[in-house]
Amino acid sequence: MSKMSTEIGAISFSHQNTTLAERDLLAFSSSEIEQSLAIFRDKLGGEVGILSTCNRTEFYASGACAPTLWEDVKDLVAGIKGVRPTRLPTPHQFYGAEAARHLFRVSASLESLALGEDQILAQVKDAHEHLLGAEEKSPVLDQLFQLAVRAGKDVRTNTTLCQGNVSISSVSVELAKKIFGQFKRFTILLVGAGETGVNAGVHFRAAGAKDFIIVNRGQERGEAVAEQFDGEYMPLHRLSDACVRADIVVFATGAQHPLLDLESMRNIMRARRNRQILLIDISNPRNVDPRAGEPDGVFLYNIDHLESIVQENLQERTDQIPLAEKILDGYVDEWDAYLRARRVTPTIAALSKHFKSVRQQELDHFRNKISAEEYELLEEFSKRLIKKLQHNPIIHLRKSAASNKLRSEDLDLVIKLHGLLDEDS
Amino acid sequence: MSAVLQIIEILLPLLYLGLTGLYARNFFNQEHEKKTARASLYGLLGTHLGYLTLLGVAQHAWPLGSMAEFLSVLSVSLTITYAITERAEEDSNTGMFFLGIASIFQVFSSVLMEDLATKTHPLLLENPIYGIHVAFTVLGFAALAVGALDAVMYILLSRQLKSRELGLFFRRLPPLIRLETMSRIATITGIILLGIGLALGHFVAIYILEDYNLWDPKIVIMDAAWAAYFVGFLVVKLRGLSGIRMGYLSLAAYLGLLLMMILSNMLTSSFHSFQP
Repeated sequence: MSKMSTEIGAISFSHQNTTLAERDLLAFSSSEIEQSLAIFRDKLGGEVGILSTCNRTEFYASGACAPTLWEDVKDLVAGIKGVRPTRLPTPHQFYGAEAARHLFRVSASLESLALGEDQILAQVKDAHEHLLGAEEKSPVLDQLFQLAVRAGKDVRTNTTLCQGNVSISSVSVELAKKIFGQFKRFTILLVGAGETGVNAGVHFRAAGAKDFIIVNRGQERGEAVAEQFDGEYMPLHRLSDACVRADIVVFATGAQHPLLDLESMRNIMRARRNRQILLIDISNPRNVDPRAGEPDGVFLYNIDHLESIVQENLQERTDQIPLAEKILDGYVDEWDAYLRARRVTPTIAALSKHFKSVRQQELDHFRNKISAEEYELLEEFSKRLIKKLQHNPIIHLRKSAASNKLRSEDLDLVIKLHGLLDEDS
Repeated sequence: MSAVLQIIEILLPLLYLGLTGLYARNFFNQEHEKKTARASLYGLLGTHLGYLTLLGVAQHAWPLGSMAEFLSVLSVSLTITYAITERAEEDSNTGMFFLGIASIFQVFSSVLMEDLATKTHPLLLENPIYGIHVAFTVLGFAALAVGALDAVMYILLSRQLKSRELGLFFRRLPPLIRLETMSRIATITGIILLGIGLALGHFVAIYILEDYNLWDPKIVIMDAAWAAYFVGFLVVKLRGLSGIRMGYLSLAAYLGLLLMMILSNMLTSSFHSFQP
């Protein structure tokens, strides 16, 4: 039997067991991963993969995964990161099928801080790319990451785990899309040029918005943000004019009193000839009087409304977890089947080598005793003979492994019967 | 052939209702049966068009001579409009609404359909201009129905957005502005097509029929209904009514038009009292 174990292990630092500062300390850049893979591989004597995102750094190893995996690499990680080993936090560790399941859960975003977020799948793909780009091949981890990427896609396709937005900005964009469809023809008005307003503007621009107006009390800051969005600056006293022109208005100011009331909204709607307008008030305290949302065609959402949509979407995602776990069970089974098949591969290879060696020895014995034509016939005959002799044992090994019926005694018997251990040594 | 037609007449409403149910199931559960639904939609369209062809062959005239036939053609026109929209938009969430109304028209059509053996058809159907008049009228009604359905969807979505209770309509229906645009385009198209249809009807009647009476109640009702639609639309344009008010108006106008049709049909025994 192979001396190399195909068991895997995983070391995980994530939002579940580390602080943000610790995660920052442990983060590996793309170039650091490229440089470190060979070093980790030398240290552990097996395959190593690294997954590093803003919320997690994880090491996957195959080949020599004793339960002390972290102890084996702790000094190395500390050395690469230039800190004392004692400064490093304690990771979560997973071995065997649990390590595989963990990576599948990560890929399916079940382990993410924002359940169902989409970025993690691309990050798992990146980790896989690093693995494939390494000088030495990593067949076991290659298979593991392939399965992880497939599992992530499968969960996204066959559940609604990643549907529905779970941040205030993305929910605002979703709402606006449900009213206006796409944003190319529509004007976005940002009232307030602070970080929150700019962040919302960035989301709208990413969703296709082109036309921006920025209304701000401070002219300098307002103009700077207007320039950032290739938009137009208007002073706060012209808010009503700006509202007449805009289709989506995001209020994010520190004003302590409402900037828009029912009466001014009625005037605005008259001037707009009742064209729909979406008012998103993410200020605290509120910038828009709740009664301003009464006229037909005005859709007003404040931070509480948006927060409640976020919570509903999160609950819907949470409800999908059992279905996602069921899908992942199938991938864990597939992983187990791969490992089982892999366990008999070295024995089959050794068996094949053994038969070839015996055949060659016997052929050598006859090489100078018979004619070239006769030798050729003998070669052909011996080739066919060993093929038939190997057939049944190999098929039996493969079938038993696939159906999980292979006992270690059976494998030992095959090895002993053919003296495979002696040959190895 | 008569027996075959009768069987299809019974079958068609059931097929329409079944398909509406399938689309409703997809709408409410978002189940992955879209391929089945689309295949069934094309199957139904094939059956319905085949039925109308058979009916035309059997009576040697276009199947447009009675209220039942008119409703059946209206139903298939709506279904074709929806099938085109579904293919173009790759969105089957509005199917429940379109097929629902098409089902209602087909149910009434099958209930009102006369037996082929006892049925007579207006000789007018052999006149090509009359055929064009009916085609425009049917298309006009279908376009107005599409406008009214889009208005219904606009109202449903708008109310959810306004109340901030974002449910199924929020998730499944197209954006509000698109519904408004589609409703407006369909309504304008309907007013134009129906206007042309009615004008052609007058033309056929004046030049072909000897006993044409402009004050025939059916003609007066239909002309008044069209004029009300037209004026209503102008008012909306000029006064800039809000989307939701326009939605309610569009729906009310279509229901009014249907009511007028039913009333005018009840006043006389045949679809056109002025047939020779």
